[in-house]
Amino acid sequence: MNALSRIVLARNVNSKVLNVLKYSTSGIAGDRWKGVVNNAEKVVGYPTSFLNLRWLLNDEISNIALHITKLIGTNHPIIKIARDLLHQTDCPKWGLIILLVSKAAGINHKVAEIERDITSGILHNQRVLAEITEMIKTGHNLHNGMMKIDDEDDNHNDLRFGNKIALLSGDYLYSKSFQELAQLKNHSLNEIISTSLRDLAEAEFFRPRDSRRDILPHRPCIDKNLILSKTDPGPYDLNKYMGNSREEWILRNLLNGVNLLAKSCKGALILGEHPEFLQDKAYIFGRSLALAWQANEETKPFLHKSFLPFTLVNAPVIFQLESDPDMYDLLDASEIDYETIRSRVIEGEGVEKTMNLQMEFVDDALEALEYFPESDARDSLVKIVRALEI
Amino acid sequence: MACTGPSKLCARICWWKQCTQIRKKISTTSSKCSDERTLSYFPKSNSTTINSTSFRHRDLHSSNVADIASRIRCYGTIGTPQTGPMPEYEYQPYKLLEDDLKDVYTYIREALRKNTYQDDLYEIATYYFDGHGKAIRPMVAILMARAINCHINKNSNFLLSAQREVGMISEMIHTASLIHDDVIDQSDFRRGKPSVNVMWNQKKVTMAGDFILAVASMLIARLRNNSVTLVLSQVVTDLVQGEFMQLGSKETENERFAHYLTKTYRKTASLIANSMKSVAILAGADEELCNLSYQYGKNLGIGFQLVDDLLDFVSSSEAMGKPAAADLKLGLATAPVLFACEKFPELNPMIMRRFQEPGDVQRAFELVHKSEGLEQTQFLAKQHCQEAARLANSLTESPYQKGLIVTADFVLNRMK
Repeated sequence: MNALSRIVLARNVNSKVLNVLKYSTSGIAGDRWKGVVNNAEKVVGYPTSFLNLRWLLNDEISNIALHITKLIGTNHPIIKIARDLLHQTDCPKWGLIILLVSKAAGINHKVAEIERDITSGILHNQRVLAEITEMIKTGHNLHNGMMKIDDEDDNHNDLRFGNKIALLSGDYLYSKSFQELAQLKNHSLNEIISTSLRDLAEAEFFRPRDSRRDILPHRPCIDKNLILSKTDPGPYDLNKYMGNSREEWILRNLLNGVNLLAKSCKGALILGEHPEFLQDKAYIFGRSLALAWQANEETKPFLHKSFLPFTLVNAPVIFQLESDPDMYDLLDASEIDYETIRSRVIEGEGVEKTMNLQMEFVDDALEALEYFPESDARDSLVKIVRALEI
Repeated sequence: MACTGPSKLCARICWWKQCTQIRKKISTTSSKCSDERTLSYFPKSNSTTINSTSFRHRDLHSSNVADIASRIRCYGTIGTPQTGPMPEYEYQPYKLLEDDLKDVYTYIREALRKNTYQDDLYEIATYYFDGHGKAIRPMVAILMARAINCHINKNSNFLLSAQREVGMISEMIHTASLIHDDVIDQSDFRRGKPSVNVMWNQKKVTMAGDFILAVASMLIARLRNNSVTLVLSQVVTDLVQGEFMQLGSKETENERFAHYLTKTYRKTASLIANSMKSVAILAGADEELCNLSYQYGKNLGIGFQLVDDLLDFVSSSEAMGKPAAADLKLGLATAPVLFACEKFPELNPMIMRRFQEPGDVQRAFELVHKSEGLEQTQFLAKQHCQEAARLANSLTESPYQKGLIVTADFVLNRMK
């Protein structure tokens, strides 16, 4: 545990990261969000720290923690991931959403008495699934935090070691989730969660990337107008959608985590033995909520006087490209001038288009919820979605 | 004797000390059983065992490994019932399963292709499924499947498609772990070609490994069998825990060998053992038969890894497709080194510092060759392979059952 506390206390040398922490948790919107989440936690009757003690009190984790402490002082992303995990700063907790969806669907009379948790109206299996989802999400974050290292980089040996630890600890969480999934003894669930693992792996392979090895959006193509179905579980033929700003942005995020939440929401209803029709609504709800939340996050760097860092595939940038294709030269430059891009997006239509899309997802999520019976869990979900209304 | 549960591993250490005595007995019996008939199961090409020219270091004191190996081989067949001379090609596993195995890599590539439209992901994920691997895991899984089917169904010859898929899945899980190992070990070469680690960046390679695992997991779910799902999910956990054990070992000299064997089980044997168990479950075998199947795989797997660790010291880098003494360079103390410690205690500090000081690798390499470490490793591998053969022998006789026995020998006497 000593190693864990050192990770929490470690000051990150990267001031940019500190800025993110400061800004993302402040402001009126942040307070509103917190209130909604606190309320929702009461509904599921369970503290939503999914950082279960069972994970922490074993050899592998203490081994990992010890190794991570060696990396304090480098700028390897694994430090931030570990600290966020311990601090529980990255909201919203997907596990919480899954529990709320489980409860909102109600308990089907077909499910055996012994499986049910009478006080909270959630199946034990569904709680395990919530945990699995959080494990997979963290595992993917760890693998995603691996750095591309050149031999010329300073302290490349330390960074390589960081990669090694990130890889192993991600694998550890994946292997735990496989085991827990197997114990749920539900083939359909197992299959759908496996496809979400596939999606996460695929997310790394979007083309094109720029010379600085950051992610680069596709050049806008106005002639691509194929629309992705709201219930398509993948795999997706990306070439059909790349360059179509809206669908490209959706796909990037679907693969990079949104599908995990959406498929877990569906999985929770599979475990609850609810009809397929409702399972699909749960999928659409999870998908729409996560996309709305993502759009909201990605707009923040383009709001008044923001200093938040952003990537070139942030929604407002992609949407700005749609009406301002010449901006692509700025993105494709050898030295990227993020501040010029920022002001160009702020002056243009990118932010507005992103907000419209966000509202579209909010509406989709609310519509999906209408198919669930009225309950305090459904009310909580509605409040969570409404917190994302603009 | 040779089947070890992780809890029984400590007993193993005391046990091998008796080996020295047993070995003396072997050398006295070896002259009596040099009869040609005992070798008739095995193709001639195998009978040369480890070619003495491939030894880097010639001054093996008392005898060389080739002698020991041939002596031990004679010893091994004493215990097994003789079924008379047989045409040797008939039970060659790769020949027997030619039709079953020829499409394994094609099926795997198809399964991966169906799950992604991204060409670069597909390229990395199929890099090691080029058809040049030994496909030993699918081979033994299918061999066991057919042998068990014959055993249960009185010599009817068939293979369930689910059993074939277990063979595929085992190769996929193995390859996913190889790919992650390449990143962890920073290896440059594997199977005679540049490793994925040098071809693409680490993050992409990691994700490609995850992708293969995800597709394997989808295939497992589609088998629609809870026991098989549980058994195969255990494999992934074992692989990861084995990798953690390899990361650092702080145990005392006494615990070291047990640690090594547990690691070997988790990193290599668990996959083989549990896929054997899975094909038995799918055949509808009872618990006893499933366990036999599992124990066969476990012994074969441990034997396989012991031979691998041995070959790291004696085989040329061309034969292995990776540099010689690769384990030492990675800081890993495998069976030959651990055995050599008995005679040369100066190896202990080198093991503790993971052979990191200049000259350590070279010095350790030489000491291993001066000690009896290689013979002792060969002997231990022999014990495991012999136990596997004994288990296979208790199945109803069939070409596949004979194939399992031949496989145990093949694993022990392979050159690469």
